Amino acid sequence: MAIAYLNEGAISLAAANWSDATGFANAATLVISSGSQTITTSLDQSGLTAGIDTLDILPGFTGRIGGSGYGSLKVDADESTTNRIIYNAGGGSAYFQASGDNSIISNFWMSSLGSAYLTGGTFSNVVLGQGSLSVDSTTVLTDPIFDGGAAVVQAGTAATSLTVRGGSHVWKRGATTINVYGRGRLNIDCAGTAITTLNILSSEAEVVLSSSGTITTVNNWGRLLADKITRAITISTYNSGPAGFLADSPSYLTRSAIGRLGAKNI
Amino acid sequence: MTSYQFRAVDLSLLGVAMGYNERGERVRVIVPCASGNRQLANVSVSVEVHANSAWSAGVMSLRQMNHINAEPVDFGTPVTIGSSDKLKGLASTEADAAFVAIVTTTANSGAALVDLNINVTDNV
Repeated sequence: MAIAYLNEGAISLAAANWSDATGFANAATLVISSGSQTITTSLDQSGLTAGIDTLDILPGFTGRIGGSGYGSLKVDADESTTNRIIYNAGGGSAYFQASGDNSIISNFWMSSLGSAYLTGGTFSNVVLGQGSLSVDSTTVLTDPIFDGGAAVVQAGTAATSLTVRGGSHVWKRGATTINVYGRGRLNIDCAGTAITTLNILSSEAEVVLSSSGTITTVNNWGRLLADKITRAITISTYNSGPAGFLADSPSYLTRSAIGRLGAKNI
Repeated sequence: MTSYQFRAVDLSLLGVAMGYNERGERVRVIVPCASGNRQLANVSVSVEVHANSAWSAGVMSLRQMNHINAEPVDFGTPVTIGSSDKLKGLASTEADAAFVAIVTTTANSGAALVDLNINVTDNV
């Protein structure tokens, strides 16, 4: 479908405010390119039977979308070919909820000077490059990638994989595999929820272990800070690389099997 | 002006609010009101609500402390922060403390989380 642009200054996402006089429709490709207003009405677009294709929010927009008292932009974005929401706003904030049809936003890519709040539904592929991302307990993240910025992810459905390559993040739910690269920093604070594999894959990567259920395997080539953990944690197998650093908490951190790893160059 | 951000402050917990700082560490919501060794005279506080769910008015209060471990006490004119308050500030004559803290005085029955953006401003 042809790209439709939201009229600058529009505080409603209703059809009349889009360049094609339609706006949200099945397989629509939508752009919010400029403005600094707060968008407060017609935020519930969950009535679409199939969902939109794309919604791109570009750096020229510095306003707010939804929020307390207005709710979230409720939309399903998994129709047609591209299936994405891009939040690259130059500032402000936006609330999103995957809702309608099968309640999936296939791709959510964010590199913004603003803040995004995910308030429900499934966001299959989340990539955070810049900005503040908050994820509530009802939102499902399948395979998030945090390249930068700052994410706070509340307790909820465990992810298949979490990849951290930069920025500083808080993770309060389980995961099958967590990979931390580069200068990424991750605070794992998931209470009693288990993690299968935690890989700290560079000497400058840092994981703060606040709370967790049993961690089956830790492969540490970086920094694992467990000196301030808030509940007893068992690491079934702990493997350390040549420069792997562990700030231990002997009374609360149990490592059942300890092994050595070779050098790693990532 | 110095800005501080605390994220995912849980309003269901009483006492000095706890949130995540820029490094993802869970800390108390306490900020200094000083520049070097000089105490500042005016503090403004902005509050951004994170959760869509409603939360009770007056659940948080802005309080003052003269030591990082002191008990926070009300300002002369108590400053409460409710769900409709996007911006709260102090009269310049009230800011005579070394630190200000956000204290949850009435627990929220739901699971409301808020982001707090606190700006410490010298208006002298």
